[in-house]
Amino acid sequence: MKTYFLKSVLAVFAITVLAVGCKKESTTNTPPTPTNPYAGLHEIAEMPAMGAGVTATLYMGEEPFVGYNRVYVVLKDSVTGELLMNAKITFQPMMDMGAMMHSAPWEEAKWTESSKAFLGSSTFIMPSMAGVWTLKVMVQNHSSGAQGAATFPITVMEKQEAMLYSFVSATDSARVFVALVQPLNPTVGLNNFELAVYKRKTMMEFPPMDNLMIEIDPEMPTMGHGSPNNVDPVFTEMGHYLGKVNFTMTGYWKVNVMVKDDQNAMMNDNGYFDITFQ
Amino acid sequence: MKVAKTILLCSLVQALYAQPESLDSLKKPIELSEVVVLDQSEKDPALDFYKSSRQIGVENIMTRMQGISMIRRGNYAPDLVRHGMRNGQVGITIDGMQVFGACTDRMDPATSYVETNNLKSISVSDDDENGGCHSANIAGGVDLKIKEPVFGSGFSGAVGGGFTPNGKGYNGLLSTTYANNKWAINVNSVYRKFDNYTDGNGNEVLYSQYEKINFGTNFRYRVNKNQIVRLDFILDDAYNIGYAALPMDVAFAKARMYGITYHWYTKGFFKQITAKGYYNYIDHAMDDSKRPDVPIRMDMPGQSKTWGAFVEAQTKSIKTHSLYSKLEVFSNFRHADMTMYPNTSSEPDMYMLTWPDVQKTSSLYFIKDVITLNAKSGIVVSGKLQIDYNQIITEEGRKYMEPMGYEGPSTYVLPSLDVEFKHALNKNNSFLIHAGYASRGPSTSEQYGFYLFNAYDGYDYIGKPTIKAEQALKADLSYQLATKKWLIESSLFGYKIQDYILGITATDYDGMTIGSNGVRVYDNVSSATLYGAELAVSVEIYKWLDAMAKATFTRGILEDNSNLPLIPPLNGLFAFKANYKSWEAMFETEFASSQNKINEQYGDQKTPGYVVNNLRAIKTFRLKSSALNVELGVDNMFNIAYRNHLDWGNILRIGRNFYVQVKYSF
Repeated sequence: MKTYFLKSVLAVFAITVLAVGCKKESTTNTPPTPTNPYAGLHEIAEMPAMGAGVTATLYMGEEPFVGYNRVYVVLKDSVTGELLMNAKITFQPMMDMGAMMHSAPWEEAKWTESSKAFLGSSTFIMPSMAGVWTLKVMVQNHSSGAQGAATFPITVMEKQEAMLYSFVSATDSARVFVALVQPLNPTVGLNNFELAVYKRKTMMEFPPMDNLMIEIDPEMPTMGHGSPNNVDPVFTEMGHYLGKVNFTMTGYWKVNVMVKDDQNAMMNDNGYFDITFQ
Repeated sequence: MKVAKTILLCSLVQALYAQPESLDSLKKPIELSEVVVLDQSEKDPALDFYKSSRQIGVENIMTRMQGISMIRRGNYAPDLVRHGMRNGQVGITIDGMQVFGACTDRMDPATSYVETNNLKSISVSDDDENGGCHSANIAGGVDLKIKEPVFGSGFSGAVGGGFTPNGKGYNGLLSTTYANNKWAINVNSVYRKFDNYTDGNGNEVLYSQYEKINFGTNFRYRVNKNQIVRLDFILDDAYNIGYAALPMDVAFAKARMYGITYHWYTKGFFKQITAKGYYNYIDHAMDDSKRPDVPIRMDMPGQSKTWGAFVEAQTKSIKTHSLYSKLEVFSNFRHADMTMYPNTSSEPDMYMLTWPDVQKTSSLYFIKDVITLNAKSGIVVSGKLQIDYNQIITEEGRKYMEPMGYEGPSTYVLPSLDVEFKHALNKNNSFLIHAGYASRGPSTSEQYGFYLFNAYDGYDYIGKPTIKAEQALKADLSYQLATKKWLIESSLFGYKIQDYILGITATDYDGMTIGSNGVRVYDNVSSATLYGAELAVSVEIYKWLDAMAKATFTRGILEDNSNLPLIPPLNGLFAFKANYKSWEAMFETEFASSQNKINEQYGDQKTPGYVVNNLRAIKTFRLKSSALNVELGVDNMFNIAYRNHLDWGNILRIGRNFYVQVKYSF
């Protein structure tokens, strides 16, 4: 009897207290892992690389845009359908504006096991509106020794936040293109900040620029502040520069970029990338 | 051990506000810590003068305790300072429970989530009754003891309300208890609402409003003759709280506290064993929606969850020894974030974590031996070992602090040791010498805070993940004279803190808050020294008239001889209390000197001294088995325009403030 009473009182007390104080929390489900290695990529088209005896499927990291595009090429033997991993792949991007044509910077595609594809790049320097972009994929099939090519029409759009800017160098008046390679998915905290820098030597040649001195300065224009502990990008290879950018909050950031030549002479000091994320 | 406060005869507060019986008992030199008794004899409202007569916040009582000052950022939830030390250096517990506020700007210290109506007493440092281990903190600590209904007291209660025209403040209170010899339950509630008040210059102080409701209940059950179980619950919800000295206000501050306690009283080696488990959850929302002009709208919510459990045991006297020990484990999780809303809708909101999902897990063991040397002398030796394990527990949170040097969890081993010698020279005179070593780990903000704006010095503060613990040497000397009519206590205290934690300006960092002066990153500076003196005098002038005076002086300097910021000036109070039949009256003078020992780099400004007078009278109408209490009073009767040095932002305190309070007890 006594214990029954005690239990009742305890129960009433506990219920009252819990009813006033409880707070529910929801859980989220994790998505199932994809099995298709190309599932996350944007497929352009599949076409035979005439002469090389292979079918080339062209993927981009995302819908093609003005800037540094990751280009994935998957080669399959035209007869057996087997995946080909031993080949040399080069590109020729081409913009046909009617009156004139010009190319764009690109990087040879190398086999990458993690992507199950040849991975290279093409840095489109203007959107398709002004003309027609094509990307010619040239294949040297090392297993057969055959060579061939396939030309893909590409629709290049301009991203809302520019991924590329160009300037005329103050030192030698050359046209220089600066493309943002990373971060792809910016988050709060330290992000890799990678640039690829190319020089327009001719309308068809855009060699990478090595050994530049690059400084970055992120700012939040709305608030008028920057962030500490950024690492200026340093030259790695093939015109690439890798550093770190620290975003202290989400929102709209502007990363100012200053480019100097290897003699520390200022080439350009008013470039920037807008980076907005939530 | 009872840091500096030891021989406290009764503090003024006690002498004046507690029952006369306790005054006598406190004059015995055995009662060493200051305890303000709030809940004595609800049956006789005349005895709980201060508490029953007015529903004022806990802070108004604490600020009258020796050595205690308050940092005020508004008219609500002031932040406790003891001997010039604060947050982290002073421990604050609610009935032994660790409670960590959820506001990154310390707008909700633990003391703001309880009302006097919830409490039995407030003690500075540890008192012998509860043991506890606040003495092992650098600057001691404060424990607010929750009310407990007394077995066999039957049905009783009180209902009351009050009004103050300045600020149009209303309050209402309700408290009922039913207790037989087997079980006892208490339910109490308080409501308070306050609009903007008018200062001594006749100006309305904007953003000084608040509204709160507090509900508490306690249930005790006598399991058998020697065992008692107790359940406690406190709900405290405050809304629309203005912080006049800050750029933001608080939309709400909500706390839920739960405790279960089990007491064993035994006749063996242990006299008493207590086991307690507790949990509390605090939800706090800071925003600027009431401010007309802000550079950018923002809100800053925060949450804090703490659970803990402890076992404490008190032995009987074994020859000349009496041992107390406590084993405790607690864990606190804190999250706070900030969203800023750009003025142009095309731009996205900006969001950041300001307390990036921080977990502190602590375990501690405390042991104290009270040794009687002879009839006149005794020694108290105590030691504590606490281990703090602090980390950021989410990937998102780590991203914020990794650029600031976060490399993973950090462990702090925090020993403390105290020795105290007391000696009675003769019947009336006694002295006490105390020396100790204490250490404390960093607070959440000091270690992991991310761009927390400090309105006092105008800097954004960032924590240092690898910051070191503070270590302090402390000593004090107290002298007491107690006669039938007089009680005089004086003491000197000193602290030398190594690796003192202070914000250091990072010139290469941009302030995040628009208009801030820059960024300061918490770091250890080699040392800081604090010292001071306290004096308390109380005298029974006539049977019906008591008087008391108390004053505290504190000085704080850094190693380079610059002044520590936010050091209270010489301050104290005088009070006279008369008791005549069913009438009581009190006249009180609060004073503070000017403070010119300031540190402007850390936001200090010179502050003039002040003297403020308060007067109150209370009449008790005794009915059959009940009593009606009517109180009239005026605070700051000469309408002085003043502020204390620890009041932020040049905000003046309330001007002349009449009040009326009625309470019916049965």
